[in-house]
Amino acid sequence: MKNACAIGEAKFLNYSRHRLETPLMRTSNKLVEASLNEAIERSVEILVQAKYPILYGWSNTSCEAIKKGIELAEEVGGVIDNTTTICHGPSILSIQDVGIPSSTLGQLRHRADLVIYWGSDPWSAHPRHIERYTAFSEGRFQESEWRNYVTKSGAIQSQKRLQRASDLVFKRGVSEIPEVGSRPLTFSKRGRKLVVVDVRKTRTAEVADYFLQVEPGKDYELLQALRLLIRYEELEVDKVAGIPVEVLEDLADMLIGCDFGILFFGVGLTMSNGKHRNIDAALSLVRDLNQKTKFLIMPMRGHFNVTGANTVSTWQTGYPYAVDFSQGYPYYNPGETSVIDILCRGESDAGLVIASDPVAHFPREVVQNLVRNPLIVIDPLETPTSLMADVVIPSAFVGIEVEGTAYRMDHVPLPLKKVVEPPRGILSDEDILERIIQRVRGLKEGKQ
Amino acid sequence: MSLLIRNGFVYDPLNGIEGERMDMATEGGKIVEKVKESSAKIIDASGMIVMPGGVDIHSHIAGSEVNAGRLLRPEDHLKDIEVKGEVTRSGVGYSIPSTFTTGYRYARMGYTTVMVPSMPPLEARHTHEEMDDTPIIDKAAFPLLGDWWFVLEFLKNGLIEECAAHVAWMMKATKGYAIKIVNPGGLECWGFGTNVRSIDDTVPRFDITPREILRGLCKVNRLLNLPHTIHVHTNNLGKPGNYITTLKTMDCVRDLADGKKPVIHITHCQFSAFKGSDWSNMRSGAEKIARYVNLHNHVTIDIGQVVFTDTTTMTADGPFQHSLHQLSGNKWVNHDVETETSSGIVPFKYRRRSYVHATQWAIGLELALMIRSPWKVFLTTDHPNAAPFTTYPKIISWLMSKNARQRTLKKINPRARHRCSLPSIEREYDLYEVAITTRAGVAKALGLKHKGHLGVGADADMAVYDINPKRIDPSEEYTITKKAFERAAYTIKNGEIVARNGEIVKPVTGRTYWADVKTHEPNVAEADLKQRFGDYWTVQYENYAIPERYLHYSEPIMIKADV
Repeated sequence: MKNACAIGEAKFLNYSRHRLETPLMRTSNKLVEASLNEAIERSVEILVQAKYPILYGWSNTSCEAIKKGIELAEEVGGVIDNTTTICHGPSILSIQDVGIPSSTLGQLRHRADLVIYWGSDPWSAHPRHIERYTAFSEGRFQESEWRNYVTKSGAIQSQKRLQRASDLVFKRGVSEIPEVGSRPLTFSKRGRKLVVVDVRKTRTAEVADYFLQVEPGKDYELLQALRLLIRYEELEVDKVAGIPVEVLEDLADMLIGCDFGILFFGVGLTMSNGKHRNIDAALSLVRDLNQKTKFLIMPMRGHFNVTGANTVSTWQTGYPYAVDFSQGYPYYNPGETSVIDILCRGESDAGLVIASDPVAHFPREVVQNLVRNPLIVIDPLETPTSLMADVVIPSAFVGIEVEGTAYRMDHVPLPLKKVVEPPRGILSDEDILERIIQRVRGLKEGKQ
Repeated sequence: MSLLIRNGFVYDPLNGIEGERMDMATEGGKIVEKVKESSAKIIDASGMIVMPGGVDIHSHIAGSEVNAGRLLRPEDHLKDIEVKGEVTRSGVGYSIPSTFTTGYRYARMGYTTVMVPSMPPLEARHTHEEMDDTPIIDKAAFPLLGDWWFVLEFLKNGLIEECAAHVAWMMKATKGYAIKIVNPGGLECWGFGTNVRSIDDTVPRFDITPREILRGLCKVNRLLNLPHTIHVHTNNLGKPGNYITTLKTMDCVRDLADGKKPVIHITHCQFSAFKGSDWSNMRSGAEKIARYVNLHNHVTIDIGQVVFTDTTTMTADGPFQHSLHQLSGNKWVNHDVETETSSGIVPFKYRRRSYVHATQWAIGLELALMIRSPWKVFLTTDHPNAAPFTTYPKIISWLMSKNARQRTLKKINPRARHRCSLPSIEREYDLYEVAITTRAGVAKALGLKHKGHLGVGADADMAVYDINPKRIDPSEEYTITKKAFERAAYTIKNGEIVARNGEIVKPVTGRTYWADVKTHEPNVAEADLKQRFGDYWTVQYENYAIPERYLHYSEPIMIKADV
């Protein structure tokens, strides 16, 4: 194992655990083993009989499989939606309103001198992000801050030791330990600056040069206040979102004064109160900043190929997620055609879930409506969703057992390699879907 | 399968055939002398014209910037849909159609070959994935190389041969076809939010001028014997007064030309032909550019014709797109690509009543009509920048008919009408010239030997249009010609009928052409790249290059380089 982060390593090392080994079908409320052909036949039956099936997931598989998924959705006149709908869906709605100034990650590595993580914690969720692309990476025009960080945390550690020693000597009670990391914004720093805005002090915040703690649910206010401040307007309040206005003025100066800034935002911003309004404000802030300096913004995406799911869906149908084919052409209206809303209204009559686990993540009522109808699951692993399914088809691991293409969060396409053979008799997502499509077509032609 | 097209009026300019009534035969995907009538499928084309399949030299139909445009504009798609057919996939339009729809719409117009002119090398895989999903038409993509750090560094140090070896590697790695240069030097500046202002400005941190980049890559292009010339989007695009930059750009490689072969292609020239010093006194600079092109043989251009409609602008020219966003207030996407390029997207509506837009409309037509030889000027709309490609038939009707132009002129901004010279131009294209500007000339400029003509051995890509040149006067009956060019009676690709009367009957897979350049010492460039790769990009060397098996229908063009 080389070059993988802790999360990636765990994926590779544990790929053979909790595997689904054979196709399963539900008979008298029990999942029993079946042959692949039987499972595919049953899936085809379900999909062909359904009037309004939903095909959901797609973010943990290859673009090649996603293409097949869209073809199948079109063939059966269903709705195809990916996990964007529960993570960065609001970001996409805002991008469609405002646009987005962004770049590939290498651009930031070479140039960014101000890095902001807002509502995201890469130290835990994207463990090599800071090291490879931002503050701790070595770029052509910007140096890594890694050494400074090590010196700084070393200094703080020794300060702590000194403190403890003097506490012992003078027989005082344990005095307050000085904070690691963040310093006041007025404290100027050379080189790359790392700023974290979050509702709690995350692991990333501990590494950061500056940390701003925003009151939960007040990101929108804070972003709008910054939009005013970068236009040199005065705020007639003392605090915004729990942060003193003087501090925000310093932050605004920092935003304007950088040579190249980047704002990363995570689910902390997209899925908290305000949703796409928050992103609207963030995108507008960055857009406005481009009148004064170079500033970019990028969503921190989760599943390894969720960007690919959006990308493929967009080029084949014009829309990135929540695409409804029930009228014979792509129709998009999130809120109407997104799976959560369809399930809430109880409109769908069958489901196919692939490469994701909605039972574990969707709201309870929505899950009830999902499992009430016939449900097909295609996944390499046993998941809560697969346990509730009517047909389960095991598939090979993309990127371990089969090749494919995936898109990085910055839209850079990457090849996925095959390192081991899949278990005997287990097909890739792409092949399974292709067989379903062929059988669906066969059935339809037979009917005519 | 063989095919016999009978009695059509054939327009095949590369072979000097002008409206002769003759039979065309195809077999095995190629044009042949004759076929056995008993076994061939026969198409009766009497009273119709037969041309080679259309060739588009510059159209953004696939790749990351196109797709970002699709994502940005659901409002563009909602009203323009393609319903799933028996053999066709569904999709959406309008200005940035989804991939399947793009292929179908080109085929309906009788186009069979399209160049994708801006491929960020790092995201080449994406461009190829989309091209593979664009049915029927043959494609090729131009990697953006004008601001690639390797190019800047080599050219700065005068290392032309090393530069050429690296460009050759890049062509193979990205499966590219020609060298695309966009706002040379300006895109590197845009990395920190600035731009260059003339072709002699120095690019900060690299100490090189756009002139040196253009000349350097022009020499590289010659050393590599690439089929097309350098494909240039000029500095200062979209700014009043930029026609001077364009003249300088064309002139800076004049001495590198030998004989009559062109060495530079200025693309969507309309956007680079503005006179004046600001938007209020902006005027057409088409005359000056046309005069230069008429006097020199080392330049070809395409027009980038504006049509009054709601469209989406997208270029690799990040700074230009930002200024367009500032100007229009419309939503804006920017996407910089590490060590290579940038790009931007802004939706845009061209209005008849706007002085500037109307002037732009006139500039495109003036270029096409004032440049005497149609072998030097090609029809494009820089799809979707000046208009979607589906407007080509309308533009053809403007080129062929003064009446059609007059009709539009009446409706445009009066100040623009008075100040442009379009109303005084009498010239009207005939079908032969249309065949040159939309097919023969384009294929020739691209170095596609089997395209754009109907000689024996050429690819059997043909379009049959329902126009009877003996009966119809395109000058008067321009709506009939327009309709005919909108819906080819037959589109034939590789000897198969793919579209009939605007209906797709067989969505075949199109080829992807790329330049397989053989250099003397490919290992040297490879080793150098491998060694420095990690300092430039954030992906691994092994993941960068696209293997040939990745393309659905790869068609390498073998080229022996001089280095």
